[in-house]
Amino acid sequence: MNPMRRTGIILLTALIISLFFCFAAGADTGALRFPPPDFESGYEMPATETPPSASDIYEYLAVIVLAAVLGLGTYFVFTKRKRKYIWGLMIFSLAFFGFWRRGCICPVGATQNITLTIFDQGYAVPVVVIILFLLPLVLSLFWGRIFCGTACPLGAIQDIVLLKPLSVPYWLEVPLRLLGYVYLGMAVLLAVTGAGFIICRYDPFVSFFRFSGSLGALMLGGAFLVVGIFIGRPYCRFLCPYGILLRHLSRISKWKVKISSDECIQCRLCEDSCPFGAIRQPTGEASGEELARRKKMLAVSIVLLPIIVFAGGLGGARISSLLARAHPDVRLADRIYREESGEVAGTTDQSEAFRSTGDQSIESLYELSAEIQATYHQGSRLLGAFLGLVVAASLIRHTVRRRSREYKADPSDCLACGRCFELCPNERLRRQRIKEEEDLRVG
Amino acid sequence: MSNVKQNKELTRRDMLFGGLRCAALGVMGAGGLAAALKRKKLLREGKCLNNGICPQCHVFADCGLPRARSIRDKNSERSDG
Ligand code: SF4
Ligand code: SF4
Repeated sequence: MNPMRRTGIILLTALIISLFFCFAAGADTGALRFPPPDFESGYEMPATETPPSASDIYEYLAVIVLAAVLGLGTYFVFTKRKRKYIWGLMIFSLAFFGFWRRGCICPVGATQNITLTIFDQGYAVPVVVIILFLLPLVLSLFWGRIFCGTACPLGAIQDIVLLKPLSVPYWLEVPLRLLGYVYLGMAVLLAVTGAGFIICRYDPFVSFFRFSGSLGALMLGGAFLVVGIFIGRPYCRFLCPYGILLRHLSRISKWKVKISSDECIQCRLCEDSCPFGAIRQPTGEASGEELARRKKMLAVSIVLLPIIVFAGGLGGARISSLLARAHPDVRLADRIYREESGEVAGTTDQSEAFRSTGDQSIESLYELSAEIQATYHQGSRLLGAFLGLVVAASLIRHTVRRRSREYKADPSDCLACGRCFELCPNERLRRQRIKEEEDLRVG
Repeated sequence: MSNVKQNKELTRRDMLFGGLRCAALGVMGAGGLAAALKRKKLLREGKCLNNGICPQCHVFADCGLPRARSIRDKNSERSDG
């Protein structure tokens, strides 16, 4: 593909991801607050019909299926090492967890439920959710991101549209990946403060799984899929908050996905086979000069660490009032204040509803809003410091030179898709050997 | 770097990773258990587990809290009428 087109597509990815954040920031949830009006005609509002919860059997079935898929996935990735089996399992997961279970509840979104369980004394999640959340994480400690390659419906829907993969340059890949930390941090902050579950609300693919959704959500999901034709799994690589947890746990996994089943012969056939930029090249010997330069860079990065963390904290605190507006009570209090002080003319549905219900005085609304803003102030400071830490750690990581004599799948980025296996000549030899042994046994 | 030195480094790294894995497993196990026990405790205390989303809640059918009861009553009235 010519460089112009490639740059265009990469820019488009960046644009869609920015649009994602704008969509998330601009969505109005105020309608949820709107109470029913008092009808003078005596009309009675019909009660909202919500479907009953799925029976517990189905919930446990989901856990059993997830465990089975993960077990089979591990077997396919580590023993069978065949893309077609992995692909088949992925399609099954897309059908079962995506279309049949309508993408809910999934470990990705459960991150918020678990966060709220930790921070809210009055909230608890069903055991099924705890298991669904923990199972892939525990597995990743041993075998890496098997969940991403075989069980996640969000990953699967992007994987099947990946037809013309392009590589994203490393200098762009690294900062884009940091966006996932922003999203994770925001999701935790908003869940803790009770503003909502943004991972679920802005899940780009759930409207496809449910065959319904707002136009905005459908367009966002569609845009991700269009970009996903060229850029492998953009949501997974640059946004997924659960993927971040998996990424870090996989880094210390006991067994890692190996491109070659035998010693790498450096034929370079696999070099460009990973559409997710997870293959690392052999490093060769470093010159004394390079080592000295890296040592210097490492020292500078370590000195910079506390400064970046501190600056992040300061920056976070500065935007806290902006973040606090994600909370409906803060938005309402602000609106009422501006109406009362004559800054704006007219009323909104929410402010009118607030006044007509009279459940709460304006003063107590202001107090509540101030309390929430104080929580956001602390939370945003922590969020900023956390992001600073992520940036500093990434700097340090890039100054450390790891020696490697072979082409390797980076365990933190490898999604266990099995594409690279197919190109490795060692792998072909292994399969041939197995086939011959099987033929001998049968014969 | 000699092979011996590299192997030593590898073993040190393996040990560190092994330790981290155990720590992560411990944290997840303890966290999971604490979350499950919290749920039991809240149920025993008769507190709402799910921010009042009654009809979609797992314990709705057996829940003794006023909101769940009134929704159940309304539902049965509707099905009777
Ligand atoms: S990165 Fe996230 S969305 Fe992608 S496959 Fe993994 S868990 Fe699923
Ligand atoms: S198995 Fe891992 S390294 Fe190989 S192509 Fe798939 S994601 Fe890339």
